[in-house]
Amino acid sequence: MLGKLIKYEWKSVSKFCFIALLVLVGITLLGSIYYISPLWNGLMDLEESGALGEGAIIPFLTGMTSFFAYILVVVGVMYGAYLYLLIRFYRSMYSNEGYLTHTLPVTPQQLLISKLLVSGVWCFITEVVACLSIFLLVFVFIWGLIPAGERHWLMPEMFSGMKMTFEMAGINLTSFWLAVFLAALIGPFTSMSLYFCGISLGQLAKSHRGLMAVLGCVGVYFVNWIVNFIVQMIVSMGTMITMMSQYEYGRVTVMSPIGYYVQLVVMLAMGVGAFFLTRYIVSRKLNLT
Amino acid sequence: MSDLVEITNLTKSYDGKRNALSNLNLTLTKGKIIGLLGPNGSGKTTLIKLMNGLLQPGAGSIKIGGMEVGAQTKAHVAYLPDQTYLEGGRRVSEILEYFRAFYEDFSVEKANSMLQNLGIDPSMRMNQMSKGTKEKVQLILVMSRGADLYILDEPIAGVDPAARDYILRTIINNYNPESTVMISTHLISDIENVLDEAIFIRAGQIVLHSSVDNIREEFGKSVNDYFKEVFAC
Repeated sequence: MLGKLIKYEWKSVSKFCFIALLVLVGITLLGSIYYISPLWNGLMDLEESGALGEGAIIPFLTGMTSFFAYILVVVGVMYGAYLYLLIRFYRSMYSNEGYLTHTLPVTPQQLLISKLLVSGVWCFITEVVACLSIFLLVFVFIWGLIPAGERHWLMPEMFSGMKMTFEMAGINLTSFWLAVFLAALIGPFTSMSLYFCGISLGQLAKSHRGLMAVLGCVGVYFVNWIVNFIVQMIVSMGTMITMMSQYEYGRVTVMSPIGYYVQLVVMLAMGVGAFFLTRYIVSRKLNLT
Repeated sequence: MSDLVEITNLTKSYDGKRNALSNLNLTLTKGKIIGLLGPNGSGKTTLIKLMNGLLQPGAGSIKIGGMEVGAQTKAHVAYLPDQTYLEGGRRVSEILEYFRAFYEDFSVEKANSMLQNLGIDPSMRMNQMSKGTKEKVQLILVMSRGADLYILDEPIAGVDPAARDYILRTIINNYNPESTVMISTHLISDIENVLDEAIFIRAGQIVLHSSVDNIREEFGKSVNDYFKEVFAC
């Protein structure tokens, strides 16, 4: 039954999410084409030659406007997908559609796992596409600024520059990327689990459950923020103490990646805790009115 | 005769002050068409939702086929809510596939045959239909199952008399004689002729559970007339 739930949940949400991704890809391609187009290059050439006059703001304005429009689209798509998935969860679990969802011959655990998996995967895909989109656009932008004969060094230079920066800060690049990858992988699932829990907590109210679902999400967001803040404080203090002790003993300062992993474990624990709380509410406290 | 549903000391309160159901005890046997009859606010829908696991009881227990309400009982219960619950953007054909995937006892052929009889195009989306057509689709979905227990909450409310006849014919012609059908309504005269048993419910308590023949013999009245007498304002 879990396989069937996942299949139909995927079918149910994928249309909207796929369109959102297409918008993102489309806007990235348009932006990339714009930054390598004769229009943008011509504008830059005119500015360099001084033909637009001293302090001309047209290229600056054009660049900034298109960049902000692009950022708005990226943020809109990412939050739009998140919001859509949360609304879908609320509707399928706690609105009229819940009459079908909760009379299917499946357990609350199977229901929640299917929704969490599908929503988490879509959020992950959206995040990956958004990151690739930003990387591509920045890359194309820089590519356009560099004379054609000198472009061959761009990629190696970017990576060696990044490596050097991290080495100077005492951060191991492999550990850093591993932590980033794990956070990107775990983050969407834990976020969805937390917000599903917030929506479900809202259903414990006697009335105004739609509003309570929103307030539940806001509450969960703040609890998550506070916990993360406390963990970050503890991790930062730990890192500082380690660095100071290393300084005292005259060792080379190397930032430990343990702090990242502690935060990841806390994030994962909160997601798992939220899942079990949601399961408890759905199996023991469900009151579809 | 074996018991299909066993409800013991069932109590439910929405606000913690007033009970929608109070210490309700009820046993339903197999192979009956039972009317759950009561005025508005008497607890009919609350009882039905509890039997389907959509509400959690404050106290007491419900057993269907000897099992507590859960995933296993839901495989044997076909439920028609008193409101539209299908996603508006879905086509009827997609919903049939969905039901076939989740309910082993669902017959797509039977559903298609009923849709054809009613002239409902399976390629239509739910949000393109009138309220009455949506209700018919929902009834078809329920009656296309080979369930042990059919629970129909107000299936004839809000539809015209011609549609009522069709709905009642659909229920009678499509249910498995080994199954039990529980119909909740306050439109008693329309369904009286199809009922084997009647349950009167008032203020969350069962005031009568008897066969329709017994009511007629004992009180010398139709179920509808006796209902009016019992629930006279």
